[in-house]
Amino acid sequence: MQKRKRIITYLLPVAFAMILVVVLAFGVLFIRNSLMKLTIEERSSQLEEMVTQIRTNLDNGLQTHWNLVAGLNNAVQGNHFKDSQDVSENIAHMENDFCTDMYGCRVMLLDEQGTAYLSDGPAGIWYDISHLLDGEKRHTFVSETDTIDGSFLVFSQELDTPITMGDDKIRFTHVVLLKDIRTVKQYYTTTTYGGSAATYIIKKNGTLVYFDADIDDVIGARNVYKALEEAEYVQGRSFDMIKEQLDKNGIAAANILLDQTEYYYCLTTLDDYDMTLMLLIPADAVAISTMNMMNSTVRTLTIFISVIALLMLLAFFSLIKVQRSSQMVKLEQETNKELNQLRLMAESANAAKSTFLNNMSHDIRTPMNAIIGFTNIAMKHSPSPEIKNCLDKISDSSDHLLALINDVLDISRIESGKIQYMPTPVDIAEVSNSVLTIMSGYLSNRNINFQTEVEEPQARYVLTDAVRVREILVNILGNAVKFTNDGGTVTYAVSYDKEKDEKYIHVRYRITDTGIGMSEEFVDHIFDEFSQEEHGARTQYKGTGLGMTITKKYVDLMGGTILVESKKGVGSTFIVDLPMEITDECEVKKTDYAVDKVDLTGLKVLLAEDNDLNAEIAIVQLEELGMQITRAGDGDEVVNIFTDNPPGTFDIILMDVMMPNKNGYEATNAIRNLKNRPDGEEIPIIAMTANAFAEDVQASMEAGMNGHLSKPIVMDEVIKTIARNLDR
Amino acid sequence: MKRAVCILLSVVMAATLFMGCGNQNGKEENDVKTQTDEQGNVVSKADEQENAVSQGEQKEKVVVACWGNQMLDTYTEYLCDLFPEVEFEFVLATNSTDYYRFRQDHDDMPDILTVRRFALKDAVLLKDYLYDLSNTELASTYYGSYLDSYTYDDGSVNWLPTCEEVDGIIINKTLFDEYNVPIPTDYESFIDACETFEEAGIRSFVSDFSADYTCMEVLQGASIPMLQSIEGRKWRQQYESGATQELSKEVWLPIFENFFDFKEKVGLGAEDATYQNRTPKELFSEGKAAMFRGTGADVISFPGRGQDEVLLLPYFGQTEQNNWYLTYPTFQIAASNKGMDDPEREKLILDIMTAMVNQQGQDHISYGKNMVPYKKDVTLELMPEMDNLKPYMEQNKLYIRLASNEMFRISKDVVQMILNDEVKTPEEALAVFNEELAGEEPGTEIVAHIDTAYSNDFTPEHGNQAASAIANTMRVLSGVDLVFMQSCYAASDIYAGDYSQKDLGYLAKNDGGWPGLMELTGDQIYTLVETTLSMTGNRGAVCNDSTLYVSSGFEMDITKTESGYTLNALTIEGEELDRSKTYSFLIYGERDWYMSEVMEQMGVEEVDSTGPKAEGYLMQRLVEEGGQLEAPTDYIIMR
Repeated sequence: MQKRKRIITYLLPVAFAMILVVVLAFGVLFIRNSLMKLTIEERSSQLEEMVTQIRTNLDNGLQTHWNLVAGLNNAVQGNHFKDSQDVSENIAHMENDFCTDMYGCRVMLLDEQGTAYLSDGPAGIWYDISHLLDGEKRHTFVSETDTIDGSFLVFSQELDTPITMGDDKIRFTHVVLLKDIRTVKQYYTTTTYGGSAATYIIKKNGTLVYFDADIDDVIGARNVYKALEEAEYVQGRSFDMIKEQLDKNGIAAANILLDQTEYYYCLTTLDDYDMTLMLLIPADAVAISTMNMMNSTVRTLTIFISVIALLMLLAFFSLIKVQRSSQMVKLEQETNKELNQLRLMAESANAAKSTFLNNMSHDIRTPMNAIIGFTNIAMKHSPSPEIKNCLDKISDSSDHLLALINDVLDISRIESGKIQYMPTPVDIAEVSNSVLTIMSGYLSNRNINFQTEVEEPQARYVLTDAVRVREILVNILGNAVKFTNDGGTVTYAVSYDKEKDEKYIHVRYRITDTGIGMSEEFVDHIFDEFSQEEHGARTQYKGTGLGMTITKKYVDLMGGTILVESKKGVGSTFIVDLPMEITDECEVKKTDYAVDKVDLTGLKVLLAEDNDLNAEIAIVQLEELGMQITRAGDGDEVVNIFTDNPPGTFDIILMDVMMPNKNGYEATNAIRNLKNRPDGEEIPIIAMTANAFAEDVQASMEAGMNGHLSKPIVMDEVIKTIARNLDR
Repeated sequence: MKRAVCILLSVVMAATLFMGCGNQNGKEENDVKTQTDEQGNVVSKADEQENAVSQGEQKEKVVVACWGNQMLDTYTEYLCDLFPEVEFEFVLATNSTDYYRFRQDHDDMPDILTVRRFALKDAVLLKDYLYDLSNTELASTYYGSYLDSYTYDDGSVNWLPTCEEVDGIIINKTLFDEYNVPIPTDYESFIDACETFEEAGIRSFVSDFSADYTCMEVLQGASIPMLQSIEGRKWRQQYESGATQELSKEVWLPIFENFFDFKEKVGLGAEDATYQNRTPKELFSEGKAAMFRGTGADVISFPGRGQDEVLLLPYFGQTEQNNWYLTYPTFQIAASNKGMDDPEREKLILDIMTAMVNQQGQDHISYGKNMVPYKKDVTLELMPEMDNLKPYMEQNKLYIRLASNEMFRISKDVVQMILNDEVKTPEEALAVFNEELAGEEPGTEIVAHIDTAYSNDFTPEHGNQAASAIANTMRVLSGVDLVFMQSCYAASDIYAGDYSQKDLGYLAKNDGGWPGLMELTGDQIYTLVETTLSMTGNRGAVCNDSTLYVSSGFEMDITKTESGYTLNALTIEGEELDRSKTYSFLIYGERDWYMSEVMEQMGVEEVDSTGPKAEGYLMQRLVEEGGQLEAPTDYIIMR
């Protein structure tokens, strides 16, 4: 009896404890596996997003080159060449006219036997002539033969009428544009995966036609599809499933094991071409932050569970003496509850990552608005020199912090493919003017000889993204000014090059300075994230180290090129070459208002702002301009104030978005749909919010607002936006 | 205390579980060892393997079908040396893919296939039985533009080419200098040269128009610019894909017009249609002909009158820019998919294939420095006689012949009709060609039945029974006392069953095998066998059991040593061969390299090579006489 009692006293608790630990361990395993699955989906989806962007870039790039080929076709039609030297000279002329540095291409004419004629003479029978025999007039493929050194993306067009040479015995039947494959790289290269992504161009039957990467070709086969078929798939998938998805959606991604290493690959077909693009990336380079977060979550969970388990064991032993059986049941229930909560925590951590980007923007911009706003207000109240000194430092620091936030967000968004190139009609000369206006601020307290050499464009109106172009130029010019000592020179030159087919124009910006220059080693890394050359006095030239990275990414996004030449102690030259489609003048909206000529005195403004600090800043600054402000503290209140006052009480509503009760979109919707208040449909409503992304602007417009101002507020922008909406 | 131990144990257990979870993604150690170096050359594991072999382990058997007896020169020996753990069985196949269809019909596909005459159109019939090489490192070492013509629509690749044989017009430059004839640079100057030589009583251009390949190559060679025009290439692509089964008038009528013009101006006629392989080469070697159609290998074999300078020139076009060389892969290789689901076997076969086409392998094929590589990682040197080729290589003016089985057959028929004036106009020639293309392939009806099957596997007790049956039949039908033949000329097992004429030929049909009828004393026969067994680097060399010789009418007592084979004695029905007696003797083998070497060793000058080939004897016995093969005999004692 005594022995049995001892067993119950000691062994039973131990058995229960062990069971508890095992249950907890399985719980952690379950959560971990769920997280792993979510992570794989997240990584595949991120990869697909990236490849979709690449496909769009590549499609656009290929189409641009077909336009070039059409130009070449027109240029050669009707010619008769005297001899092969005449042919070479004509080709050289065409290369000069059509093949700018950006296109990196050569022109070739093919005679009936397949002899290739280049600018430097006949080059023998082209090995790839067999690609042109299927009866189609146009062909695109990758060529890597002995006929011409190098690898080229071929754009071949059969001539409508053959061209003759000499006594007409030689007839040219095809004009071919050979684009150096290295220049195609700009369309598919991504730095997101730290240079470990391999790019494969594959025929529809799986045959490899081009491989490009800094790493070894781990597939190592002529038929890539066969290799993918034989690879080991994770998550019970197979190549057949991936191929089916590819055929259906034009894009598919999966993770596989090759030689015991996990890789992610993503395939996407290029419509109209026998080309499929594949990105192959080692798993440990895909969505690193997501993986780190997942691993850290699992680690935290493991530690947490271990501690819980330990505590439970201790509690278990202490409680067992008092209420062994009932306590055990209760403890088990508690444990299950805890596990459930932990699972929910883990899931919400994953969801939090997805919304982090947006929240970071809003939540940091809101206090930044207060800091910058109040600093500006304080500066206007004639502070003492000591206080002014402090305010200047606050102002500098907050400007820097804002720049850093903006740059970090921009980088993240570009890399996740959320920023897309959306060209709109623009007066390109006006873009230059606005850049110069911005730069005048940078130059105001500097003794720098700023020279401009701006050509008059042959076509002013183009399709481009003015904001991004401006950002590129201001970034480069800002650096030029920053890194040039007083007494030095910064030159801003703009030239234009119109293409033969008259649809496109190349805008070339050349920015030269006589500043401190850069070392050769640094120039190679200038576009890397957070790259800043060590000058020995970093504070003298402070920056985020992301400006040039963003600049390069924007240039890539627009299908352009950027070249840098620099010599330490002598200066730097940046050349940005951007192709832009020409558009009609009528499509360009004249939008700008001269701030100093706008009079907003007496304007009645209904301001919806839940944050007291932000409200105070806005009220002070708007009232300084003579406006009369009525404040609403949330979404409900703004609707009520508008409803309770007769039509005409307010000229305009400035609306915060993230507010309690009703958010800005809901409040706008309510005002726009008020019964018996037709003025509710017409009153201008301007979003004034810390949500600053392009999709936020889009959301404001879709909610029925007339404009969008992002915080921290810039008074000039506020004035312009109000003036534009009230036509003042 | 006990409580504390319990807690500690529990925590340790939990930690172990968690740590176990974290290691699931750990990279497993990869201990796969490679057998190839960076250049793709197979590194011999000789020590390891020879140890295994010496310990009596069973050797892995690999059957390699050799398209021609050139491969017996040094190539088979190279493979035997490189893979001592492999028991190679070499058979001399014919040079067409249809031979493998015959083997597959009997479910007896060799492990590694080689073929000279190749067209994807013919090869596609074997696709289901051959290994797909498209996912191998081997395929990725080829230039993509070459491999495209070996790639099926679904991306799979069965065949890979070795190096490129070059074919053109071989001229005796010394003779040209003697007669002050300028070296031709285009068609017109070629015709001028022909007229000058004919006036001087020397045949200008000769060729063995009894051979189908010569007919086909001269027909195509005389019009390469037409075949390489965009229209010509389009037609070829359609023909090879099966989209058309007739010659396009637009492309081919000018080709026949060119050939008629060539025939008239060069003075070709009915006599040329009878010329066999050796005739034009002998005329050339004797200084009686100034030019003949030939390959880089012929430049080495037939250097004019000994000290003459010879050159390999292209086929001439109307202008120098339209001159082209005609080329073709010296052979293609493929693997049967039989047994390739075993990873070890698959690796072995791929290693052997890699060795067959890598730098070392191709050095053994182009030992005469007369070929051009298709692979990125292979460099082959060219002999000075082929210097003319270099600018053509740079300009890619190397035409790859259109070489489907029917092209060979019908080209011969039509060209011979033209030479014999049976077809008188280009239009008629085009019509006859198209008619034959549309017709049934001849020789497919059943003409014979074999009652007894014989294996061509070599056993020390019985030798090669299939080869013995063929040799015995040849001895009886030719009426000679004795026959000596390399056993690999028996190209497969002899299967029991019905045979068409075409399939019957596949039992022993290699173009390189020739009969040599001679009178030999017993002493000379001893010399013959000893010379043969000790021979290396020749197209009759013995490198393993499968390449040993079969004797008919006498027996061979030989010993297998570490370095090869030695002869102990020759007997007739158990009695030692009379060394002083003279026997009528038939040697069957390669005649320009092997037979001339053994004849020199035996001191024999007279040989009659006009008799039937092995295939002819099989037809005589099985078709014409309706009989059966002679029974095999135990002709060898292996010690």
